[in-house]
Amino acid sequence: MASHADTHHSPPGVGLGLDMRKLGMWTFIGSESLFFATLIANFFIWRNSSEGGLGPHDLDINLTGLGAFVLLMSSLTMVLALRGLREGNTIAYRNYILATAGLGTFFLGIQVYEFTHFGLHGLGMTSSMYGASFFVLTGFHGAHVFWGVVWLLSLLVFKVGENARRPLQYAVGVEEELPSGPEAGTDGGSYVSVEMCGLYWHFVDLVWVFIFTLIYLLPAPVVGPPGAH
Amino acid sequence: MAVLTGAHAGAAHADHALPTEEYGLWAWITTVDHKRIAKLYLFTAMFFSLIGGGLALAMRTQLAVPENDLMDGGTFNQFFTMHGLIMIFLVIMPINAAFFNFVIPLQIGARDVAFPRLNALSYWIFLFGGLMFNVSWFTGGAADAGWFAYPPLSDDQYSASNGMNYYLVGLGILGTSSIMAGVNFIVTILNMRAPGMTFTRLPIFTWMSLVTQFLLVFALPPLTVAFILLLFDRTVGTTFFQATEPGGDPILWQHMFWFFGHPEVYILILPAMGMISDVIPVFARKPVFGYTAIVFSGISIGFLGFTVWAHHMFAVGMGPIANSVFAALTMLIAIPTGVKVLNWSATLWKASIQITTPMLFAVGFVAMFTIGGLSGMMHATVPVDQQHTDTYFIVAHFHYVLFGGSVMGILAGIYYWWPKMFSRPLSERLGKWHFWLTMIGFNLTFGPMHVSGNDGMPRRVYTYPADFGWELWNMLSTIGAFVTLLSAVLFAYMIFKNLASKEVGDPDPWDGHTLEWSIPTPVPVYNFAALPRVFSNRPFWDAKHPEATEIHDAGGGNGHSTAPLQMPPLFGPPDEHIHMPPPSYWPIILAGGLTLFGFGIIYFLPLAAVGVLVMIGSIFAWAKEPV
Repeated sequence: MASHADTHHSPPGVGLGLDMRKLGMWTFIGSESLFFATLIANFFIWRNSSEGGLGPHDLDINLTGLGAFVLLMSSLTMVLALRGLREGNTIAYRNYILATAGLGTFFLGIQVYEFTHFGLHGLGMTSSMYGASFFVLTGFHGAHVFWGVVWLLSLLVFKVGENARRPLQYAVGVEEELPSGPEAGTDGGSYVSVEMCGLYWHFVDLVWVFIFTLIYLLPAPVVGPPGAH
Repeated sequence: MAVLTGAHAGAAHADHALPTEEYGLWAWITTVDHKRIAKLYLFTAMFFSLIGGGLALAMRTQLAVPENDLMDGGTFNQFFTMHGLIMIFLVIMPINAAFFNFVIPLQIGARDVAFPRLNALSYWIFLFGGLMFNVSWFTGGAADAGWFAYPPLSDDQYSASNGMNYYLVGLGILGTSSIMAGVNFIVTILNMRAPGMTFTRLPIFTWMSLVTQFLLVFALPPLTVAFILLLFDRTVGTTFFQATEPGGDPILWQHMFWFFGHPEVYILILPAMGMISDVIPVFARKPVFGYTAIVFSGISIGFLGFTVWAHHMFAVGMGPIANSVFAALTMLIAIPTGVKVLNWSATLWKASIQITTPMLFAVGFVAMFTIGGLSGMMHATVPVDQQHTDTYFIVAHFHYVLFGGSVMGILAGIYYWWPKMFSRPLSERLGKWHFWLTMIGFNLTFGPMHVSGNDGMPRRVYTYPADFGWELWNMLSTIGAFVTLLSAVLFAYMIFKNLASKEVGDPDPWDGHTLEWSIPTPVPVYNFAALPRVFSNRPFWDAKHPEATEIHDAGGGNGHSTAPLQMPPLFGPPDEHIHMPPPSYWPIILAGGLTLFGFGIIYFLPLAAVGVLVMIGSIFAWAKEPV
């Protein structure tokens, strides 16, 4: 820090030592967790209310399982992309970001197919409470994945990570030293823009782990008489 | 004082690299300066308070006498709904945001908030969302289902105008503004404290604000989900909250709403508690009593605030177990609240008190809030609550905590920080008039409601028959409302008179304790020429009083000494270069895109798509902008 306080009298700095943008992202993810928690709770309340239409028994676990696998693998490619960037391997970075976006798009394709398929078989927003809560929950997750893909591609278009040589940001209006020499970039500070996209992407994947487990993997409830919710 | 002028006199002549203030309309539109954004919040909220207050006066006029036909029931429904929403979301929350913006960076010794452009974005979204919300007056009727909008009253059958759609979209937009501001201030407080400003030395206003930000960030998403689901009910035809086929559940809305709604109560009151915790010790001329107790009780209020929501629903029939659990938790939350009241009172004990206007309002807060808190405790008892639900007693209760609490605290804060914000204090003489008029008007308005409510008068009725014995109490309430109007007029006069003056007053008129008083008035763009170094709970007071023989440091360094303490200087030599973020117009454009998106959802979906494109474009431009 550039404050020239004499060290003898200066108390230690008290920030958390985490880049502000990352801390902000973590806080935002905390907020998003409650958003999805509420949607998941809503789904659980209506899980048994399929009103004789399509319900938990009619889900195609194989297809969506493939989607879940693809989305999980995209987290791996995201990590590899960041590693490529840190090692200065721009080609690997770009390819892995592209792969992450591609896997995300594949997942979205499966979701579009699934939605269309359900729609053709009479499951819609107004057909049953099961349908409404299913589409709202998975739909909002899909929208988050879509925004993630846009973000990933924009990293490539605007060459954000490759040009990033900005220092760690602890405080506005306080000059900080740019990492230089062999350490430059290895502290991760230069790549925060990419890391933030990564944090978001991993969060969206993690939410899907919960959604997939709760919607698709939990044993389907025994169907009672209509309106037994 | 000598300690400080040294640092700043040095800064004044040594350096032309220091950023200076820009003037003009464009500078305000593109500003990212937390102090300007604070003023924008403050004046916008004051403007909205004219609408909210006007609605209240119209309602009190209607209720002055029985069988009054000044307005019909439908209009009255819109008035009480919008009065509540405007006062909560467009007046108290943004005035609190004005103080977060102005005070927090100064109290922690920072040069701005963590994300200055995001901060501007929060403001513009709030402004546009608030205006949009009020457009509904002219599009066939505003929301009319009460501020908590219970289905089925709020579905498209019983609330057919698109006022409820404006409510859902407008408040949803305002929610994003608050979440962004919450993220911003959490990062600011956690990461940008000056050297030595540990958590045990953080001023209490900043502490309570930090708790409030966590409440905002965690309580608003469930509300957003509830809004989205109800909007689907109204526009797509789902039945999440409707008992019609295929059969949702209206009570689910109540749970989702109050899961936000109760933390919201603390979102409104905790900042005011923080303000008076800073005001009282300054005018009691001693350190606050039990710093740690006040801080920890604030944190536990924050936690417990998430566990008591269903006490708003005792009358819906949740069953004895749920009722008992929520009753017990509600009684539990009274403990940390009581701790705070004790601490404020003990700070006044044996103090040499200065009766200034901010002090009057702060003490007024303690008294009025205690009354409101006690009537709140009555409702933790389920049978009492079931008798009082939806009567004027409830209206009396929450106005004692929101007006007697939040507003009194905010007024204390306005009088206290005004000299730092606008360079000269508000008139002390008129201020005392203002205090007494407010106090009398407020108590005359809401005190009698305890009686009319206890005598069975239901809330939200647009008129009442003559023979129930409610006439006197209603007439008193109406008279009180006009006394309150008088106090507001006086306050407005004081503000205009003050702003018309060019005088620059004392930078430290109250002999303050905390860092915001240590810098010049008007505050330079960069706030601190040199970042302060903090060694105790009252850094500025200790720096002004090198002869003092005791130190107050809640981190464990409390103590007395026989010799003067000779604290190290607060500031080192000033920084030679201070880089402040440049202005940006992308926040206002992005907020405009979000507003288009909102109107699109209500009227015409392709417009929403245009809004999204504007938003995405501004986000990219924002990301590419050099800072």
